[in-house]
Amino acid sequence: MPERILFPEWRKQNETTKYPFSEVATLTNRQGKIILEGIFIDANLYPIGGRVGLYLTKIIVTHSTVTLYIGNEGNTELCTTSFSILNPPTSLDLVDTYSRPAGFLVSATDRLSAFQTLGIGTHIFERNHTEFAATVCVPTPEIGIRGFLLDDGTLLTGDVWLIGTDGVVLRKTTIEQDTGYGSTVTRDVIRVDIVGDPLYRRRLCDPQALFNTVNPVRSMRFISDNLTFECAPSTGNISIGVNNAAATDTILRITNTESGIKIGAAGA
Amino acid sequence: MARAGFFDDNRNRAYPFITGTVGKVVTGPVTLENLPESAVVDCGFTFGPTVNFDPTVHVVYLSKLRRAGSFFYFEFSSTCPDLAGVVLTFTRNTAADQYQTEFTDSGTEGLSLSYSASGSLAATCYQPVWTGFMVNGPPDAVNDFLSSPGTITGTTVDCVVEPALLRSMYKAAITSVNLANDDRTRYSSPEGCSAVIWPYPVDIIFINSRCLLGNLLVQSGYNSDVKQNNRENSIIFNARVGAGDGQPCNEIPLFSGEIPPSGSGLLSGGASCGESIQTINGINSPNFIIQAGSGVQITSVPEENKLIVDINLAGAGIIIPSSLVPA
Repeated sequence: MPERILFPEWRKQNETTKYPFSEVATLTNRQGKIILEGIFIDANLYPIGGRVGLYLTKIIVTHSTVTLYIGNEGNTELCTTSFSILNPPTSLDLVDTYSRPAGFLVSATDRLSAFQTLGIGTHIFERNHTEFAATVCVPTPEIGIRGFLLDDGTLLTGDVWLIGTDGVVLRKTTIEQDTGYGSTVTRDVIRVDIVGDPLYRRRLCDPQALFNTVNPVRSMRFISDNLTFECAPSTGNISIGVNNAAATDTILRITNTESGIKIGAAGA
Repeated sequence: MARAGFFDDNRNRAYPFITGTVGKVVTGPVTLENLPESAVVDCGFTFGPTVNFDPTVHVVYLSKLRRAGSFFYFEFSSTCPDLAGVVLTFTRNTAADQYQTEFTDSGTEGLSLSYSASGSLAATCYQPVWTGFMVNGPPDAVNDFLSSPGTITGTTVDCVVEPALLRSMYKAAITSVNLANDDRTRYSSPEGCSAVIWPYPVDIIFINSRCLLGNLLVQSGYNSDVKQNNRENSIIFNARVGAGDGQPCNEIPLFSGEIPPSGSGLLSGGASCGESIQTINGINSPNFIIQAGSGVQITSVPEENKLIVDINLAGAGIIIPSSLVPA
């Protein structure tokens, strides 16, 4: 009479079952390629965008590596993992296309080596062949803002800092937004002001110290005998005339030149 | 014949811990590797988007079992560096029923957030960095294991949780949006002049707002044109003179309370356009030339920034009216 071990250890219990694949998974594809029961012992799958019906969609075997793809019928490459066929690990870490963690497959070195038996090539599986048990699949819908994707492909997540620089100023303000139900709600607003950086040339010349601060003429003082006139510009311009308006005869002449003025006597 | 349930199975095996890390026979001083297998029958943990938990390297383990009065405290830790000092603690009464489920997170005041690391957690908008649940088995076994008040501290190889019970959400979401502004380019005095004194630290990033959560709006301010493209799921920021709220009338402060340095009316320092001489008689030239004509001598005293304009008519030919010619 066969004996049954009461309360076998978790991994031991799963070694001889289809778990973490579904009980209804055939584990054989259209080409007759077979995935052995117990090749995985446990799993936890949570690719972002993953819903029901996650399954092992594709296996690519090369001379040195094995690459596994897991997805659903909408996206067959939600996440992936690969390992060296010559030195298989004991567990597999799944990541999605943005290198975000997407799950974990528990196995053993000798078990993962069995993928060699599939032969070199790409092996496609369908949902009824390799669907995972629902208990190892955590639905992770893509709700909310998951990340900021930049033009260069960089994905920003976590605590994201937006920093205004080079004349861009970012500020938080708030507005009262109509809810449409006769009430308002206060919303945070990111205000973007682009005001420039007036002294940007200094920054461009830094740290080479190519920029020398100009010391502009801020005022002119005119001294004649005991009289002193301090002229500070109110509009940026100083006018130097030859005499006051009441004088009708003077030989003094001040004329503009291309880059300055010329002071001289007339008739000389 | 009725079969045992999942929890009944687990009270008789190591799960949710890895086989061999729990339930060992006591052969010396009691450690957590001697914890009865029935003490915990299920658990699971989820790591937040800011925790770089690598399941191929890091583990979660029961780091401490503490008894105080009629309460047990199950304290779970991780070898992940991002979770250093941040534990999850589950509480059970010594008379609790079996198979009780408790959820907790690392933001639970007084329990899991009882370490000095709480200070650094505060800088992350008080969001829990990991969460978890635990289901206890029959309390009698734990009562016998730790029959009097005290603490048993484990190691990273005792009571290690099955890796398939862990879920890493690293980089899975934006947890907050924070605003800051880089410093403006600031005026520096010309050589020989006294240095500008700023009444606040400069050359730093000025934080405007932290931990913006929920529904955020983006608004075009001065000279800015923010567009939302629903089809491509993108936001485009354009700079265009006069766009948005148009040109600002005043300088825009980088932070609340920003004021100009002493002697200047500008936030960036230095002189504004009207405070320096831009033109003389309408002439604008970087090197303004004052040229002496006939009958005029111009000499300079550079050390005093002085020009002496002497209209002495020297060398000038003078025509004397006949009425003034002596007879």
